[in-house]
Amino acid sequence: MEKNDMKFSDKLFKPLASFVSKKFKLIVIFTFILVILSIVYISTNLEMKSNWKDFLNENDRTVIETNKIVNIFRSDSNISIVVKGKKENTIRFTEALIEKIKSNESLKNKIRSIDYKMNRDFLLKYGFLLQKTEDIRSTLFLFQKLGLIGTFSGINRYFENSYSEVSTHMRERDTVKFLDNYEIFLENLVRYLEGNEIHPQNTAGNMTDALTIGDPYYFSPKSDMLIFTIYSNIGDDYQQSIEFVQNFKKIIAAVLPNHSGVQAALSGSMAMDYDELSAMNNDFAIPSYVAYVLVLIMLIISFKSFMNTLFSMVTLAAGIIVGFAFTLLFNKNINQLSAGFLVMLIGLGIDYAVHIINHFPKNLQKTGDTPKALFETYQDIGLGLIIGAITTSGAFYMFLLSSAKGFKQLGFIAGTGILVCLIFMLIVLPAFIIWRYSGKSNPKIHTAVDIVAMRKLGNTIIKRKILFVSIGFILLVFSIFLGLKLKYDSYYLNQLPQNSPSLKSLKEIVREFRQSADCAMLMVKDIEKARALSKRFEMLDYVGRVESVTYYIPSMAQNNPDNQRERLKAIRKIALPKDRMNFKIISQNDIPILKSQIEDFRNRIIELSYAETMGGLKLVRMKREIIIKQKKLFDRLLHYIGTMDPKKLQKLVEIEKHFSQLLNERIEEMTRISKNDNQFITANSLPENIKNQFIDASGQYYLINIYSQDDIYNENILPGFVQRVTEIHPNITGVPIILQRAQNLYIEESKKTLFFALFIVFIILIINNLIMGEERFPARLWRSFLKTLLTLVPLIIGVVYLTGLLKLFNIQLNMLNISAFTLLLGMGIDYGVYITERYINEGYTNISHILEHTGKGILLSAITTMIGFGSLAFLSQHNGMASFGYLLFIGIGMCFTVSLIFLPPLLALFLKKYSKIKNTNI
Amino acid sequence: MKKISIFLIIMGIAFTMSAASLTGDQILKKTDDVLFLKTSKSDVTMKVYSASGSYRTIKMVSYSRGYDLSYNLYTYPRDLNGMKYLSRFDNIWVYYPLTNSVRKMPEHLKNRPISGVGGDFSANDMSSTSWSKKYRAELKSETNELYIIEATGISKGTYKKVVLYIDKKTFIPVKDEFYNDEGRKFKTLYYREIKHFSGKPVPTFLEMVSHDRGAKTTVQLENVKVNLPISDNYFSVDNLGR
Repeated sequence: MEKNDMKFSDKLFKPLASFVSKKFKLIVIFTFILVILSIVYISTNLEMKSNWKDFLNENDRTVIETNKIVNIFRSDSNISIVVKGKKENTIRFTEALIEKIKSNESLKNKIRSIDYKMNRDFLLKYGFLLQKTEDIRSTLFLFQKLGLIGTFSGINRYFENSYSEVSTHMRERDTVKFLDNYEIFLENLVRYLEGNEIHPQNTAGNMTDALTIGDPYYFSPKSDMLIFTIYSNIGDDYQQSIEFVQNFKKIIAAVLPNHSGVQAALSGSMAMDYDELSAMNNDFAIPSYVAYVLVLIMLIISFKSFMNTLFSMVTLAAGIIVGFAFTLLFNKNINQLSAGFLVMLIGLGIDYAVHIINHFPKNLQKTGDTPKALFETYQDIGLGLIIGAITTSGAFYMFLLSSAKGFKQLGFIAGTGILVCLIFMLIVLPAFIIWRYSGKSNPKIHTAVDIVAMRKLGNTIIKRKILFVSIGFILLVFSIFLGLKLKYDSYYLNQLPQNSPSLKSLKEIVREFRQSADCAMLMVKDIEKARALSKRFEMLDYVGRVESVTYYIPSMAQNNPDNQRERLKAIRKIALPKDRMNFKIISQNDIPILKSQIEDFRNRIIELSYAETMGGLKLVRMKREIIIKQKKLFDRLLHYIGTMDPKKLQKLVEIEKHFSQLLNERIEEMTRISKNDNQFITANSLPENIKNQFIDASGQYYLINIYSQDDIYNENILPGFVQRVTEIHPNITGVPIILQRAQNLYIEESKKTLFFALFIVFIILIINNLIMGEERFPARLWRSFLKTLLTLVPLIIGVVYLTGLLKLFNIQLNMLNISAFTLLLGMGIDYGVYITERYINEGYTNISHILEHTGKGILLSAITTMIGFGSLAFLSQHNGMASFGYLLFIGIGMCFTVSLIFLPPLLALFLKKYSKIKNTNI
Repeated sequence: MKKISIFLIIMGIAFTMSAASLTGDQILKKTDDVLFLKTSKSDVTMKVYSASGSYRTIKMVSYSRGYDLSYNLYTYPRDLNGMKYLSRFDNIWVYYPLTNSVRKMPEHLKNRPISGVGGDFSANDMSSTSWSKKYRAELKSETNELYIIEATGISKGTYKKVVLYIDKKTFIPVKDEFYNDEGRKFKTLYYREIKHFSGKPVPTFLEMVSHDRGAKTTVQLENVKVNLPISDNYFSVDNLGR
């Protein structure tokens, strides 16, 4: 081994040592300039992205479809604003907020549509035409006779014909809306009769609105949370998206103080991306600083030299910066995984410095000749470091074989980062040290601290090798037992920063509205196709709500029995009864009839409880209980009727007159369209916000939004939802679809890259061992194979221990940390390489010596690496990144422990005859 | 041996010829005859599955007389206890014990799911059905084991098109495929666990798979009794609220 080794080292290291010794100042100055240029390049070119679309390849179907939507609709994402508080306060706040948004200069031309309430004029004109023909026929019952008795009797007949048809989640939401309108109607009536409202005109107006056009806002069933959506116009421009969200945060912060009792927050894909990005920026910065400082302190202690430590850290920083700038030449944006890896490079890159500082000053002290000392240092450790770096970067580069863009990026950044750091440590760090000692006749040279405990550990291992192997085996069995119970957490929201406001809002939306803020999207060219598809999506059990322009533009197709002509015919029937105002003003004698109609109405709402139980209608139950139990609207109304006196009757008559008058005018207004045969709803009749939301500027494309029932990210919902909607149309896309696609790809590619990495590491080790071997074939082959297997032991057993500990600490696998196994493979292999190499050179009896020298290097290197991952694990806001850090923190710890404690006895048992008793240092 | 083979061939040809001579309507009539129960009583457990696999359970006691009268008394969950469904010829009434009211079901709701969101059996599906009275059938094709019949609804509350796969030996359907107005198959009913009670075959496990919803509903019949005396009171609207 030595002969080949020396020849190779001579050729490579002699000129390098000579160059660095002579040109050390030039190297330092050149490095300084390179770092400045790199910083400038990074600051002007770096884009951090947390969008899962950027993880996938451009030719992925979901990415293609998303890009089409972005091009045609100028955006694929939105902001949802969640407002909480008393209903009237939330409405006041929302109106004030909208005014501010509309007058905000920086948001001009950046908003495609604000969907915060239904346009009143549009509803007054087309409200009836928006209803299905069969619903319009039921509405006929509602408005046949006016007056209070006529109205209650109409409500009951309308109810009978409509309420029990709750066959889809969308119909359930319609039923809630329907009940919400009755709640408003009853509440206004009761409040007026009880004297809480003194203006009959206002009350009658609200009652009329409730029965004809309904509540224009989108409230939760409890009516204490309002949600509305803002669609952007800024494509997928990263910088503009950030500014867009920031502007909304500022506007909300400005409006909120004037509205006490109201809370407001952002959610939706843009806000979620923004919060995730903020967390990523934090995870990029704070753990890096902490890791940097901790590594600095640890090295000062172990190197016994502040300056040498400082040089190491400066070289490391320079290596990371230049390496990162280099990778940015090929990738302008960086995803969360790659960002996390940059932090880890602190722990990995410093390993090379540890070995340089361990040997170079010592050699300098021994020889007193700089080029010679550096050459000897390269001879001692250079090849080991290069092989270690090649296996590590080789494993990382295996990500380049992945079909996921995000993994390719990670592989390129990680693999290149490692190699650049190694180059800097081999060239720039010695240059710093040479500069430090140059010109001094008798410099005080600082050598690294000796760790006596390692020698003692080595002695104990020699004496009790069977005990150590047995303990290792028992722990292995125990870890396998635990590791088999390790679970995979596929709930995406668990990986996000848990304290982010958008995530909290999202969870509130799910709880209160039983739907998510994010939706799947489909763009189609034909409106009738959009109609048929919307209907099919609506039918799916996974689907809670479908938004489509087809709900605003009824069909014109002749073969559709629910087309606009049929609806107009039905509306004409509502317009017909001219005697609806010929009702008898309520008198004392009519009170029993009124009472019986109100009771019947109450009964029908109570009977909804059967539909609720049969159909699992949680939202309907919530609403019904508010009307019946919480607000006791029927009890209060029946109490008023039951204790009727002339004064009360007068009040009842008063509201009846106003209400009937207004309702009659409203019916006339809303049935006016039926007087002409051509009063149809077309794209041009739509309010701008609806039109811009669903129809592109050219009027050719229609967008359908599909929201899941309950939480779209729930692991029991997302895969099934995606499968079902994709079965209906393969071109469907949107945040949940992309996420599911990315999740699947992530897991598949993680497994694939892990396999490739293991393979490449195995091949590199076999080749290295074959080249370095001295025996003849096939003995050399067998030795290489055995040595390679034993080199892999710390990694394999370390991973098994890791899975046991993950289970023990209740850390689940997830889509982010699963890829860490490949990284662990690249890093954890080094410890086995170092120990096995030294064992072959120094033999079984020298294990205490091996551990004292190589073990110390490994210890320092493992601790620095663990500091990098530990800082990420303990300081990340992003849960996924933290779990990634935890896995590598424990994994490195385990690989290191196995290398140090269990590998030496195994080597003694299986490789004894191949060891040479020699004393060379690594 | 040779004689036996010839005999089998002749029998096979004879059977095929006799089968081929049956029309769709005749096969449907045979199915009706096979499945016809003068009266029956059973404990029914309905499980309504959501797409994600969770389900809710509804239990009832079911009584029927021929194809025209059926009565279901809900017993579980507690919130439904006492609710009754009465199907008389083409009409359905529902009794709600909480309000002590009897409501007649509007015509257009009879083919909607009785168990609300997720339910795949409509009120009509849950009532006894005489296929031959309500549908015209055409034999579309056949296999060695099955007749494949396309039935078209001819009366109120029927499906526009149903394709029935009927066992040639027993004339019991294996599955029914239901098509909507647009001609798309939207649900499939599977007949399973055929058991005999007093010599009459009864499918005791029905599974309705909804292709629209992406989920299913199952119905399990237990304690089945057939041809037992059942009082007229069970099938009387006047007695429904008592």
